[in-house]
Amino acid sequence: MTRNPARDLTISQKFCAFLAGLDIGSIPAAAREVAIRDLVDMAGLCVSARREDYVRQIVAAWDSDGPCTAIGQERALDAAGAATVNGVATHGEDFDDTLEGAPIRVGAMVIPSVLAASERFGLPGSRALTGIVAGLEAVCRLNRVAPGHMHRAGFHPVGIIGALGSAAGVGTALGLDRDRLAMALGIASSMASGILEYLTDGAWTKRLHPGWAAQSGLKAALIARAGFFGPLTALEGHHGLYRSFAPTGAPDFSYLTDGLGEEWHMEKIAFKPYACGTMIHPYIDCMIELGREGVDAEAIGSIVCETGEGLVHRLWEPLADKHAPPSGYAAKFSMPFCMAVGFFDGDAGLAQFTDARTRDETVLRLARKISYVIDPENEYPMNYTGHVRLEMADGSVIERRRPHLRGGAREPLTREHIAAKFRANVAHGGWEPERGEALLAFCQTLGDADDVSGLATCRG
Amino acid sequence: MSEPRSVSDTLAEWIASLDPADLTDGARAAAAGTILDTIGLIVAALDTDYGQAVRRAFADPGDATVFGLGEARATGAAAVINGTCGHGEDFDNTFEGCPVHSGVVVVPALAAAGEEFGLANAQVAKGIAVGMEVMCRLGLVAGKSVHSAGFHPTAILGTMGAAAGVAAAMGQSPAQIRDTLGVAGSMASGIIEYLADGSWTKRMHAGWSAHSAIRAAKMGAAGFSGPRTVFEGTHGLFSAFGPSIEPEFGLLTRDLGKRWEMAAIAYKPYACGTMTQPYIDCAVRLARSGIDIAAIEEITCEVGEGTVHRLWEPLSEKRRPTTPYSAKFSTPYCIAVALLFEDAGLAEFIEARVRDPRVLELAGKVGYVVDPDNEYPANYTGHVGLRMSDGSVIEERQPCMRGGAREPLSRDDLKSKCAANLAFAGRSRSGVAAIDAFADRVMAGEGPFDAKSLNRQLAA
Repeated sequence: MTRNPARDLTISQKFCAFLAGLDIGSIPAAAREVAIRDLVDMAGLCVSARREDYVRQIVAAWDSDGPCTAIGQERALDAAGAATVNGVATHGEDFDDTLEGAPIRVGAMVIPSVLAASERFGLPGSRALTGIVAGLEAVCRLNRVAPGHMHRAGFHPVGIIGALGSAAGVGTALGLDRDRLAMALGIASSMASGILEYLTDGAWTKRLHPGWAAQSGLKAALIARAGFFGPLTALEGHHGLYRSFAPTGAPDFSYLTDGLGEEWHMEKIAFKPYACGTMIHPYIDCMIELGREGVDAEAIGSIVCETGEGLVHRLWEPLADKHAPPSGYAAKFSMPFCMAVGFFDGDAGLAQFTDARTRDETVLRLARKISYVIDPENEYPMNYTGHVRLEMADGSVIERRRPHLRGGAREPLTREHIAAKFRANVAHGGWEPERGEALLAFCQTLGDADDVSGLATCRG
Repeated sequence: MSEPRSVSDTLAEWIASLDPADLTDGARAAAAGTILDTIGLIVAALDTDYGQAVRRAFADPGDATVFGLGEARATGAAAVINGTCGHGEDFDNTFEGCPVHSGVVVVPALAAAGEEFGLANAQVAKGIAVGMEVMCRLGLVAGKSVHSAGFHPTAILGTMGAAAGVAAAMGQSPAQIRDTLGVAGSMASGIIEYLADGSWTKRMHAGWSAHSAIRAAKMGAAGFSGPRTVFEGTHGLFSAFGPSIEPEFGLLTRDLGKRWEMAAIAYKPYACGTMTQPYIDCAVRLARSGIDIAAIEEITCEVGEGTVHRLWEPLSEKRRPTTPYSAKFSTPYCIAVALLFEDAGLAEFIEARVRDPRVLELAGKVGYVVDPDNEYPANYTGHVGLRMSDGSVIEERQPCMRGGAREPLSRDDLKSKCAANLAFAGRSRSGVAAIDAFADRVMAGEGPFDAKSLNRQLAA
């Protein structure tokens, strides 16, 4: 114990001094724009998933009604309930945002809880938007401190870091001071949860994690606001978050203290054009291109893809299982299936990941021809690339490469791309287009709204 | 399913088939004693600073009982408040073998569930017995592994135990119970950074776990899938939260229903850390023997190595604890108040005592030596050696924890403790009879679960 509490600030306090000083005017336009796009993306995803079993079950399991909106659901819930449902709905199809360099979902844990708190406490749109920016920035920076090490210890960073990001977002929106915000992070650290055992049988707990993190962070902020004493050293302490959840890492806390307000990590948020695992996207782009060129699937002998070693465990192996995914959800994490379905359909949106589609013999026949070789030079996780090498029946070879992820920092999706994805998602969810346009306008003008009461029109 | 039965399959089948009439007398008595002890502790803490803060933060109105509080709350809120207050003074039950506090997670969860679902006492009785049993058995599997990974066993294992208990009380099918446990594994949380600054998150863990357990059980009931290998899987609970051991799951699944581990639950005679209690017994006996406190030169205790980290070091800080709460985890302080006041109840852990120069002077004389043969954690022993100013040495030993299996507290002891706790909160001691009768009624399985009548009697 060498810290002098009167003189030396903890890591949480240093970071939260920045958050507590944020207001809408101090946030650069580029950062605000990313937050708005993430909000649009999230809202469209909530509509798209509104009739899915796992969303209906979360709504059914929630026992408290209240004044808050779960987008696309008729029943209004208490703030925690709305945060949970919107978090699960956003991430349910693995179609939501991601972060390049240190992969994690960002908006699904933050935006639902900030919206719920704003609706519950009647906050102006500018505070809501400030809270969203704060929460997104918190997730991105917290995730840089020890990337990869939470996964290694058996934890899902969405659940762990998400709880703190949500607390940062809600606490900032509510205007908590530096130390209350820091205690909110400390309390959220004791609520952070999420193990990876869903990997074994495709159980739905992965979908649960962002929603649970969102409501945990919301509760943590409210507990801190009530004066409850949480640890200020929860990030760097001997028993702190990184020691417990990322014990193999050497945490670099400079990500939480340096360049605050100058460098905005949340500007590196990437949006997904396809409804499946992020790292698969550049491979799908290769296959879509070949499909459009008119390559004959029956004339393909085999397809071998160069790949980064870090992808093999989750997306390629066990290869026999990945060739025949047991459900639409499992198919999202099968490199061969995604590539094959993209080849035939020219897309890999929600329609391509139904259970029925995983039994489509035409797709499966092509998927079975696809395998991989590890390229030790592959840049993963710093950059996500794509490659296919087709050996045709006539002995000829066709090769395609993608140098990076579309939707990421190197080739961002435009506002128009995001709006188009939003409209497709709204249609998938069965809403009339006019309702979608109204929700889109609400999201794009959030910062100017007197409050977020417009959300109430998104029920049902 | 042709797959081999998972650990949670075995648990789920036992829970679903258990008839409340088959609870043994020992199990019923342990559960009834725990209900009595827990409710007294909840009432005692309602008006403390942390009790008020958690009540402000969880103000959602509803129909669920907070014991001793006039107004009802939403189900989850009542569970958080009851659990946080019950565990607030670290005066609640524990378990030898792994210090899990089952009462303050299981009783709040089952009380809230009993009201939410309108259950009969027989169902609540089954739920409390199952919840405590699963939690204690998980403690036997875990040993020290959860703590040494940086997590709070009461929080992690409590979420699982209470979820099993709520599922049992709801009468869930084996498949639903399995999903409940799988979902609960993704909600289990709680780091131990409160050790750094005596912040209040340890208290919160009991309540938050009770709240999570109810949510998990409702999701399991709604059909949300959780991993069936949540305990033993490659990415399961123990590989994430207790990676240092090869878990022996027979301790969890052998002789279920035949042997009730929870029947050996331990109650605390003193309002502080479990392992300090046998030391306090020694000090109280020395004080009662009439030794001259002023003539004590030095106090040396033989201790188990595993207790040094939490209860003895850093020694200079443990000799001068900064708050009443951190004093509970300082063996030097506890020995000093026991020598001076012949007790270590709630009244010995208040601000004035922590600043009392007589206490601090005496605590400053207390030190330890590690005894490599000490049985901790299999048995909790005590030893106090006094070196007097005339050179003589006086020693006292306690071979086991009083309140534990080797020297249990009687029901009358528990009633006296409850009376003292009610008096500490300025409540009439007459409430003890009402709580005592309520505990027996629940565990006898007679009639509907009715916490509201008890609250009316406590208010009278």
